[in-house]
Amino acid sequence: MSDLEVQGISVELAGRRIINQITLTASTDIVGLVGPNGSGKSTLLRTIYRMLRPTKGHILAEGRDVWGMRSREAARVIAAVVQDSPSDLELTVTECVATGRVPHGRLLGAGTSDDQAAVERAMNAAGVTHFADRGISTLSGGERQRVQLARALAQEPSILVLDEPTNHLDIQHQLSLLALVRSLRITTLITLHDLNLAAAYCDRVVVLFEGSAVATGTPQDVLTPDLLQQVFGVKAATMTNPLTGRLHLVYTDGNQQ
Amino acid sequence: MTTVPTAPAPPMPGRMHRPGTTVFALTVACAIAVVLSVAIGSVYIAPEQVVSVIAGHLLPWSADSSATDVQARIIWEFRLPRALLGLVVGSALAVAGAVLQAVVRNPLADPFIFGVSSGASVAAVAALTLVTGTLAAVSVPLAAFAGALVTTLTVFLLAQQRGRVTAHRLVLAGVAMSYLLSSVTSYLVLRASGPGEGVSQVLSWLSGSLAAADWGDLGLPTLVLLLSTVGLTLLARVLNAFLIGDETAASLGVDVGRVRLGLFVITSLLVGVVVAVSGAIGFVGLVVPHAIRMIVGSDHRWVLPASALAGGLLLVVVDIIARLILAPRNCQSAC
Repeated sequence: MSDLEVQGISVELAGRRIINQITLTASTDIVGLVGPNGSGKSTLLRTIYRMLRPTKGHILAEGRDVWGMRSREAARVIAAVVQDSPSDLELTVTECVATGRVPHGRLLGAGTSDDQAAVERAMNAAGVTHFADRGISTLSGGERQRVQLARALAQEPSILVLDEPTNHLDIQHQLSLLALVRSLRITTLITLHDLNLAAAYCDRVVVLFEGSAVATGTPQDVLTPDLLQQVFGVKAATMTNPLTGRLHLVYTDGNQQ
Repeated sequence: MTTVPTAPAPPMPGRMHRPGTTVFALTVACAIAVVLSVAIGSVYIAPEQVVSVIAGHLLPWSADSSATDVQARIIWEFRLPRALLGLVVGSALAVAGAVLQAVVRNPLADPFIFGVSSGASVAAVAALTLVTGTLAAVSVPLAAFAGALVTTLTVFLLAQQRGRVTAHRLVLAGVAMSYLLSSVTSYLVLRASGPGEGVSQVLSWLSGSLAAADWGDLGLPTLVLLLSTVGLTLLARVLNAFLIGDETAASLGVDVGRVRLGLFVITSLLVGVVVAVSGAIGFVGLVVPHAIRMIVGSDHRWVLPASALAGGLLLVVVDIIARLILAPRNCQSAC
């Protein structure tokens, strides 16, 4: 049994099929979802963190149907870092991380010592303790993503779902955030635009194209020049990153010789 | 990996973060404001006499006060209900504003802008101008609450798009409904402007007034205010999750659609019961939560109780000022 099993998920919105019969599994590893804009990556994730009910198919977390559980129960198993627009009404870092205890709340969310301990552990793990009392809007993009990750960890989940966590981050913060995710050793499903980041940090990748999963496997097996030509319409070549020994891709647009 | 030395975190501008102290100070300020509000009027009564009369009613065994019977009646039957009503109305509007701002993640939200107050007003004005006789007394509060609720649900339905409600559509729908209902109110006023005092009664009510307060007006709003403020404060972390965003709130196991609807119903109940007794009063719901956030931060565990106290305080103080300016006429709390 895998920690996360996505079985034949389809989503239709306003009569249009956004994703079509996607099946994948993840188990104590990092699975990257890659694909062009509009290929259905975020839509698939939204069915997993229960923002969007799938039209067909099942999602099992630790063997239990995610959409058959109560929503709070599901949020104790699956935590997500998603792309919400920033709010004008801002919380401090600690207050934000503490919302991760909502699904554990007894008495409608009164804080217990368990809650406090979990919040502290999560903030330590994500390295945000030293700016605990600052307002979210005073933080850099990289720091904000770490706070959202800490908030997700405060849920004490066994599965993490991350939607483009490296968006708008500089190189150092992209790498350190993904290194942090790896170090957590939690089953993770992550969408990434940068294929080299997917190649460097994911154990397996699933390639989505027009709502369907067209390839699944290790980055080396899947991210081939042929596939990149078909799915992204770019001309690509593969090499080995001399610093990490992992797959590295270089591209040029599809028309250039 | 080398770490780049970073400057120490700058202190947060405008944030004092002493929520406990703030709540305590506001509680004391509310008590003082109520006593002053009772003391000041066409006949001045010394604050210590006010305190002794109130104490005499609450603790019948305590020592007799030095106040005359007339003073005691003025204090207990006329001025104290008015002061307490101001407290309750201000609190309810501030709590409703704080909740609406969180739920739609928009700092501009408040019951007035959002159409909830207008809905309550239209229904109450309709009741004032159309219902006569003994039914009139009962019909205004009921109509105001029904108007608030119907408006809220209409705003909610208008904001639906493919079964989902987004925060910015809620704001648009609320503002649109608010404009529409204002014109309906104008029509009802014009229609009523025949002979008789109907119009002046309606106009005075519309601009918000605490003048007619008696003990009977206090029970329902106080009960609704206490229950909802306590309940909402227990839900503080859920409200905090709304501040982060709908997607995150959903991932935290909050049933975003249903909880948002529930919070809307609670705010329309709050607004409905206070509009029924005081008329439509704006400003408090919009401004007080923001002022409070500057002092205690955005955590709703503190924002809600502190807003409740500050909203009540503001309305009591404004009512005192208005009475001083307009003396000896009675006045509206046009704030």
